Amino acid sequence: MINSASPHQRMIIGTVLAGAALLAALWLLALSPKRSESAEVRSNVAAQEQRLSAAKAQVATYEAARTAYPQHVKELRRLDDAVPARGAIPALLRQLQQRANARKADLQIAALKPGAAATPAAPGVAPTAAVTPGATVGSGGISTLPFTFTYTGQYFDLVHILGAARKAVSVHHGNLSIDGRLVTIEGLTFQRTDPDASLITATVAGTAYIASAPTQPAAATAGTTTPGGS
Amino acid sequence: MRRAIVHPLPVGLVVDGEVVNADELAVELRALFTEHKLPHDVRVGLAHPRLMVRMVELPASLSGRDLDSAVRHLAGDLLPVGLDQLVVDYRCVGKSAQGGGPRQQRVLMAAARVDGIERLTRALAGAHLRAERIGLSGLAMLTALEHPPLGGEAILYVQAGALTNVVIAEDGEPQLVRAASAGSESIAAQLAERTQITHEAARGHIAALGVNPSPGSHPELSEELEAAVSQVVREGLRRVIAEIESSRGFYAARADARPIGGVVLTGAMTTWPGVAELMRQELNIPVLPAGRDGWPDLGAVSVPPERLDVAVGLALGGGSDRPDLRPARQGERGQIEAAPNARVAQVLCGVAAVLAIAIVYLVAVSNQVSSGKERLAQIKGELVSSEHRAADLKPYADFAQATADRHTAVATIAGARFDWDRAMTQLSQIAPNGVWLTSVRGTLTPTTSVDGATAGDTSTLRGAEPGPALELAGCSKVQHNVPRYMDHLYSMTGVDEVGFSKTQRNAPQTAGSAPGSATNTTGCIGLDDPTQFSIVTYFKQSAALANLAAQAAGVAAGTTPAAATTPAATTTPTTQSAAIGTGGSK
Repeated sequence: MINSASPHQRMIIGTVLAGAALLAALWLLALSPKRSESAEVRSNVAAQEQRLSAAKAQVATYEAARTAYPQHVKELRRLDDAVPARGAIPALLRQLQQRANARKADLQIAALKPGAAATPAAPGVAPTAAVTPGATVGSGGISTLPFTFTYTGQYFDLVHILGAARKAVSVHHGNLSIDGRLVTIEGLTFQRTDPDASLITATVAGTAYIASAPTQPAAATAGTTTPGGS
Repeated sequence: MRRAIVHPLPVGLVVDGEVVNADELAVELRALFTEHKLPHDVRVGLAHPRLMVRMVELPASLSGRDLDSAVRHLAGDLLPVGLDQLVVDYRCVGKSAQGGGPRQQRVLMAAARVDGIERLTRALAGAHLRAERIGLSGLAMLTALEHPPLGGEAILYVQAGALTNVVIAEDGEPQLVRAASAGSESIAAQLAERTQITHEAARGHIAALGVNPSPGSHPELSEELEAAVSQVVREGLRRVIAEIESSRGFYAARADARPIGGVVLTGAMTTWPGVAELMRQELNIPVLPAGRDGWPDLGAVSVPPERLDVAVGLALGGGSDRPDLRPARQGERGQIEAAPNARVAQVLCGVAAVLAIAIVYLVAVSNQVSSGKERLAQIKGELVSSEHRAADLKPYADFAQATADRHTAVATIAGARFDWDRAMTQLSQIAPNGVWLTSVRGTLTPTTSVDGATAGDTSTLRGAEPGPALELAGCSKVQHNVPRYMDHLYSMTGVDEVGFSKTQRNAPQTAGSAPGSATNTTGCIGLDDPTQFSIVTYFKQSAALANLAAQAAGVAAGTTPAAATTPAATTTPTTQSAAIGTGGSK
């Protein structure tokens, strides 16, 4: 077929074949590797942009946390009234005694019992070392401190003391109100020792809570009082 | 080819070989082709005095577009009209004899005015005919009658018909092609004018009588008419012969002209009586037989073959024979002839364009890679900076999270606590007259351990429900107050169920007897007919409270409290006591 073609046709065929060969060589040697490289670079850029975007979002979140740091410190101080880090026992004794004295009742802390196995109150918080003897170290930053006190006095004075202990930390419509230690009452017993007398003798088992202070940012500690120092 | 039809046209449609009335000719042709159901692809033979056919010599190096341009310019020089008014085509007929100068090629050039060609093509179009070719009648005749070459001599072909076509050929190649208006039509017109008869009648008389009419062969014609026919035909024949001689002279003027070795006579006039003989005498050249051996079988055709030479020649010739004077062919021809070089150039340009596009694409991709790498480096820098910044700020986020966790934990514990003070307040308000409690034990769960007094015999009953409960032990002056008291217990906030362990009527107790002593077995001191009871009041347990209780008890939180079931009564009446009801009644 080629032999029967005219010189012009041969020239055309030769030109087309040469062009095709040149194109194929260009594709194989230059274009295809370059396209692969381009695709790889695009993929890398996309991945790195995603990482950068995530990092920027994280920085923005952290920036917001830094901006809100004073409010967080203030909130932690408020929480420290309910769940202190140190001085747990004296403060608890003082508070309960003061409430009993106010009702002219006799209240004695009978025992600070070592808890058997406190569980984390706030999941996800790293375990902290116990700072108060007698407290059971939890794994959530809050540890339990079981206690028992005996009470001798009027029935309604005991009701009042229990109410005051409950209302010291309360939640109304999602708002946390704090005016003292957080205490839970697990159980109580009482009986009248003398049917003619109005006094009762009660034993109350409860739990107080303590918590270690969160680690403060190094840059912020210089000018800030550490919460939890009550 | 299957049929041959000769159809004389009305006078005035075609004059001297040129179309005068295209519309009428179209009607005539349409009727002819429809009547005989002829195919619509036609080849046309063109011959008229204004059709210029010249043999020119041009350098042999010229070809394609250059040759085409040269021929067209020559035609423009020879005819006093603009090139745009001409339809020109040519045919290379060989090389000239080798001389001292550059080698030349002979080109048979044909040129016709556009207007005449357009009238012809309009007539064809009006008859719905498609012209495959518009060739020269003289060349068609040569094709039809080609005589074997006479060694070293030229052959004169003469078609004496309506017009006179003269062709001189050397070795089969035409060297001179000429058409003269002298012919049968001019003779008929002259006779009609002279004798005052119609053109059609004149055609018939001259075809019948010729130059030597036999006396008495046509008794219907007068002697004067016969004499007039003979005279007009002789005069017309002289004009034809003069045209032939003129053509011979024109050919003989060429330096390399060959002697005329013979003449092939054909055409309608040669069929007239005495005309062929007279022409032989006048031309004084040996008459050669017409070579019609190669003609196809036309079947039973009444038309003499001398009138079919042009038609047969056109049919025998190829569709691409040149010259071809179709107007539309010119541009196409130019394109075809110019095509090889142009196509090579086009292909080269195409290949170059594709390569250029590929290179541009390569550059674009390379730029993309470069810019991508730059962007990657920039992103990595920003990423390192952001990650350092995040690491610096992370303690603030951890602190915020710890604060939020602490808040949540405190709020959860505070919100989940059981309201002991409310329960104790309501407990003091619901006791009917004559009913009092001797001991109370309240626990969050059955497993809660509280030091101190126990509340009667309720230890078994307490485990019936997992939530908070008050285990009550007391006394009633009358037995029927006990169920009343239980009804009242249901009115306390959050009470889910009330169960009792026992109700027992005992012997009267005296004051001063110590509880549990032999004289005070019930603790119901000072009553004549006391009833002792032990009751458990169960409260509903929320999920939060269950978690809190579980934490306090060291049990994993998160389990939903078990469904409450009515505690089973464990009444143990003595001989003096009487059952007053079953536990769980509301």
